[in-house]
Amino acid sequence: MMRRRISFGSGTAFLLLVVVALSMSLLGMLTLMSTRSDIALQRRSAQMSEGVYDLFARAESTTAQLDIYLATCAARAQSEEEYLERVEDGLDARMTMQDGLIRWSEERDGQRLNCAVEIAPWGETERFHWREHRTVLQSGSDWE
Amino acid sequence: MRRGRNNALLLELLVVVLYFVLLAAVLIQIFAAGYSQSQMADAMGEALSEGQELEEQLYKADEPERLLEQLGYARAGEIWSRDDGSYMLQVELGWSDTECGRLLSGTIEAIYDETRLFELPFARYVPGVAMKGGVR
Repeated sequence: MMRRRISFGSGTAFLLLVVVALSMSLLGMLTLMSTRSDIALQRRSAQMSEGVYDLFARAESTTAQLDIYLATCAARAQSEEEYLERVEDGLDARMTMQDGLIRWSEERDGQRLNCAVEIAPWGETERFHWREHRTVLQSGSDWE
Repeated sequence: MRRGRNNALLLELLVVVLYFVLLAAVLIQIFAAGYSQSQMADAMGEALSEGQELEEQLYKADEPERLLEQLGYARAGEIWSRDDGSYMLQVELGWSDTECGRLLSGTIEAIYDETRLFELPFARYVPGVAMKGGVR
């Protein structure tokens, strides 16, 4: 039986090391790049959610202020017409009123939450009802 | 002559093994860092999804404190927390009375290995029923 002799010349081990080193470094670099982009994506997603929920929280605080204002107007008015007039006259500068709907926007870092509430008839226990609660991205923002 | 060649080969193998050990030490650290970052990204994704779900549930709940209790959150003062193994969610809630109702506000914070991942603000206004007709 013939035995084939495998020769291991000088330089072969070094060449092998270079190949292994290069491939392992490439693999390591790809792993790090992939995990870093994962983290960056999750951070961006968390940042986006923080912004959206902050807008929702601000909208709730605004409705609390609006409810006080509506209640004050309701207490001072003598009729439905007078109530609506009083509400429209003293509304906050960033709010608009049309056809019984009060609209305003909450903004933060290129995100905007459009809000609209419908004013309930004068004397109702619940002074308003939510009609719109919509998040939009402003054009040219970082989020697009 | 042959002995000298064998010595050179041995020396080369020794150098190669030494470099290989060094390379392995560096690569193990890189892979460990990658693994730990990947774990953090996973935890962040899960915590975010749970935090968002909790926000929605808290918004709908009549008794938010009871809901947190049912979901397994432990109370320590004003802070409710739940450890999910890889991350911890902390909920801080507080009621404040307004002239016409009550405002529930707070935050949902996610913590991973003593690092704050995110903080979701929360607020819900509950109009007062007793204020019929308005305030004077």
